[in-house]
Amino acid sequence: MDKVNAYILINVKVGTTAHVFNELSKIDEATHISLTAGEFDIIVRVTVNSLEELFNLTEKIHKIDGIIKTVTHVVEKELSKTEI
Amino acid sequence: MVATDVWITVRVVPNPYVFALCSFMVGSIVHVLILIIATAKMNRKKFIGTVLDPNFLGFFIPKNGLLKHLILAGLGNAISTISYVYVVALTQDPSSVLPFTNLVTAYLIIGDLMIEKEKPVLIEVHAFFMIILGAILVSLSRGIVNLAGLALVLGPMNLGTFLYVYEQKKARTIKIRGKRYDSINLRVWSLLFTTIFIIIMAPLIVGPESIVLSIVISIAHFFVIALDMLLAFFAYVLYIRALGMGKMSVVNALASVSVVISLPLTLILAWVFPDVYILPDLSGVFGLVRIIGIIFVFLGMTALSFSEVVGYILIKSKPGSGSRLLKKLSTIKGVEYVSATAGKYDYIVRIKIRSLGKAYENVLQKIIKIEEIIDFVWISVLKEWELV
Repeated sequence: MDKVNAYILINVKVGTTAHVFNELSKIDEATHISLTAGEFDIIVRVTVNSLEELFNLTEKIHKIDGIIKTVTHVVEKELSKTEI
Repeated sequence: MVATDVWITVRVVPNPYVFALCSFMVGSIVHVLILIIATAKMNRKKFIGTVLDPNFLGFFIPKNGLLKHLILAGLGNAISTISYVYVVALTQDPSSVLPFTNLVTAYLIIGDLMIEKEKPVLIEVHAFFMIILGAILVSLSRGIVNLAGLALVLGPMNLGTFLYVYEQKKARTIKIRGKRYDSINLRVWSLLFTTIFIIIMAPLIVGPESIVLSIVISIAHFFVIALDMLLAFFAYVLYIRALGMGKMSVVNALASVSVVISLPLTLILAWVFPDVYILPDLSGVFGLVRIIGIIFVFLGMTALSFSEVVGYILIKSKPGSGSRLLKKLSTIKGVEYVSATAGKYDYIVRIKIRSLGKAYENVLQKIIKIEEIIDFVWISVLKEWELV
């Protein structure tokens, strides 16, 4: 079965960015974690086996101290320069 | 790793051709054993190999395009290795020409241009040449440069290394079951192909008896050579993982830093084992040249680390834009991947580009001209963690 990729866009409380970043890096399903400047503070890309697993993962992320809001975008289709 | 290489060539196998054959024959056995161990399960979900590379998929037989890349990587490595031993055998003082292997970074810049079809920015060119020049200065010796040896280094040896790195990079970017081809399988298979090519090439130069001699020496000194190849395995796996992250030229230029790190290590080893390791010459003007070389390497590295820009563009599009917009976005230079998403934004585009100027010129200027885009937001990446 195809894996499900998703982006979780996160806003955090002031002063908690480093803590949230470190906690996110412990998540096995996270493939990219970017600390960003702009509308969101952190962008996480995750790869999971199902939407059910994605739901559980976002629940887990919500429990990290310092996170104010998350917006999840499920990838429906993707084109990558690295795919051959 | 270089320190153990020196130890073996001085104490165990003085003939460079036989050393190469022994290393790859023993290395093949060691690498296959590592692959078997790495394929064992740590728990229900994970292989032991995932500790070293999270993308590890277990034992995987390469096919089609991947197989082609691995065979070509093996060929490049074999050409480079045979050229290296030929230089060592040909020149009385190989250390006078071997520093020029650092120039392979210049070849890799051209390789990156071939892949990305884009000119490097000025700061990158400055940084590369600072690192290369620094590495050459650090490893220079007082020996007279042998022109035939130099031609071998600049020709087949560096071209072989270029082919090896280029094909490994191509293999590393192939995705299998949604993940990048892992560095453990890549290293093991490319080494096996290298061994095959070396077994074919070496006897043509030094005669078929070299095979028999290599087998005898490999059996007699198996554990010493196996230790050397074990270290090589870990060094190359980390190198291949780094290749998955960035440009070949950048990774190779950064790997040149090892010449700086090897300097204090050689000093310690030469003090402990004076009969095996030669004390690096740090006296007078020569010492000053080496210090200048170290400064160059660090300045180059610092400049390089500030040159790249990574960001995301979050896009809202007109209804019905579909795969047409997906394709338009993916053709923009600097775009790593485009994801059509379900959520507040319709597309998330990941950008990796050489400078902010190029991000404006190559990406934003193109985005604003796409009529299907209603609105977009640029988000700069300040720090990143990536599973590679």
